[in-house]
Amino acid sequence: MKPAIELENLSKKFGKNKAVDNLSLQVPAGCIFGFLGPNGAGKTTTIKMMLGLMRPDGGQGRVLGRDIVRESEAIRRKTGYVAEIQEMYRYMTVQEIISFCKPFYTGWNDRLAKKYLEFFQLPRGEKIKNLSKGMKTQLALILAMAPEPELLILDEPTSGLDTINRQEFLRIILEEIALQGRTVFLSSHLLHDVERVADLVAIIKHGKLIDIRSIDELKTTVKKIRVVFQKEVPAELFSRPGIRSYTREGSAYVVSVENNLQDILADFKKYPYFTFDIIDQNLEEIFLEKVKGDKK
Amino acid sequence: MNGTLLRKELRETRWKLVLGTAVLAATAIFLPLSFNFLKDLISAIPPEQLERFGGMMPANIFNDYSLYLWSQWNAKNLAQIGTILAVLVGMNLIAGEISGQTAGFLLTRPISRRSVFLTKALTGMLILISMVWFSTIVMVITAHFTPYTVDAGRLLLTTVITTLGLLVLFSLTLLFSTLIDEPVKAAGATLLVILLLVFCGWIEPLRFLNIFYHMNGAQYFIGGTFPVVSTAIMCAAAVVLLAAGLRLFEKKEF
Repeated sequence: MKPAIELENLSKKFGKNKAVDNLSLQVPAGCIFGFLGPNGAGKTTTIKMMLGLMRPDGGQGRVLGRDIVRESEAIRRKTGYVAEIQEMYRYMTVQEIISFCKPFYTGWNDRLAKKYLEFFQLPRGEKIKNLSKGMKTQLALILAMAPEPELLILDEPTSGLDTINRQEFLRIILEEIALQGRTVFLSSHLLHDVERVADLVAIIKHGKLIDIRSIDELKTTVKKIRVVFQKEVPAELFSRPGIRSYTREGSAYVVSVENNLQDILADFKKYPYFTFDIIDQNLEEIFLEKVKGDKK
Repeated sequence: MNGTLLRKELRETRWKLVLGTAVLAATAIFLPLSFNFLKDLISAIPPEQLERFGGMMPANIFNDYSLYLWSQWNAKNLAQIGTILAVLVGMNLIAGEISGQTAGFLLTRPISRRSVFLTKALTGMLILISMVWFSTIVMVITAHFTPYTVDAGRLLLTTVITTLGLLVLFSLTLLFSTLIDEPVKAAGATLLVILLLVFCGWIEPLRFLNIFYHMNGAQYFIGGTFPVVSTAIMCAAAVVLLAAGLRLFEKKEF
């Protein structure tokens, strides 16, 4: 099966600042893809290039098999997009913005739009300027989903929602979209949300891809080892491939491992120790570890 | 061109259409009816004092009712009010989407930028043409209720020339609306360029730069020959300005 998104050495500069720096990644069709990175990492710029709002300075990309520069209109025909800042025409009512968007799409599903309007309890006659941030996000999601897109791109979609609505939003992504075999590209800083729904995550920093793996792989290979050795151990022990960083307090070490866990464990256990714990990490901890910095 | 977008643009510009038409139509009704009043007023002023007005309203225009209407409509009020309306209609079309942060929403719909730009340009032109022609027809109809003879055909043909000039000014505004992300600043920049061109027009060799010189239709209305060169210049200017705006819009990043 063709990937839903293929980016190859995609680059974008603003002045001297490289917002996206030779970014290459593939998003398999039908998966929920978490796109993570700190503020200013280049997540929104990448999305804007995928949708034709910005032109890449270098590299190339294909979304749903179409070129992101030459065929962006065709991409947008099959892609739903919920932006980080939901600005729509403030003078329109909920029903009017739906009626405005509908003619742009051939596959618009009125039943689906009605279903989500009722689900989110959005008043059809209310003007957009009177909607809360959360309601605008819900409306944007309806507008993105009603055309039944093959790909849904969500840029920080849950940031304006309260806990209950966030849960419902994620449930919709899981149950209504992903189960229908559609691809979801979810950019978010709410790592708990991404962890709940994503199959695959990519982490970017300063526009560069740091890591791309499945959530399961990430959680089984990225661990922390807390060990108190009985005597001094050679420093080379901590420079093995797969060790990202470590901290030391006396003979106690906390070691962050991102690969080769079994080999590292075997090496460590060659030295006598008082305590030895392998600590699971959630996505947030893994993310922070990865974007934080270099080995100590 | 996109029908959905056209309806949205018409809705957003409807108050400008209503108010612009009202102002132009009120002027159009006032001009034919004020002929006698102005004629008496001007004739009461001694000729040596009349010269102080710098020929703003030469007495000979009262010898010909159609000439009076042309001088006060095409060469003055329609050109001046129409310029303001052209700028008002064009300033928001692109810059308004950017300053209102709705450009991203619109451009993530499956519609080409060319279609967005051309639809917006067409909407603005339709609105401008509607205002100009509704009021011009109102003026001609009003003039027919006066005891004087009106050369309606000549006035209407001159209005085609004036309309073309206003479309050039609208295209210039649309270009600035694409270039500058703030509508008021886009309008300011357009007016500045228009003023600059008017000042250039005061210098004889640069007179061709003054758009008002081309759009008043004097060569046709007074001289009797159709201003082919002026018409060609205005057509070319409108096309070049629109093409430049379109190219800029297609390359713009949001």
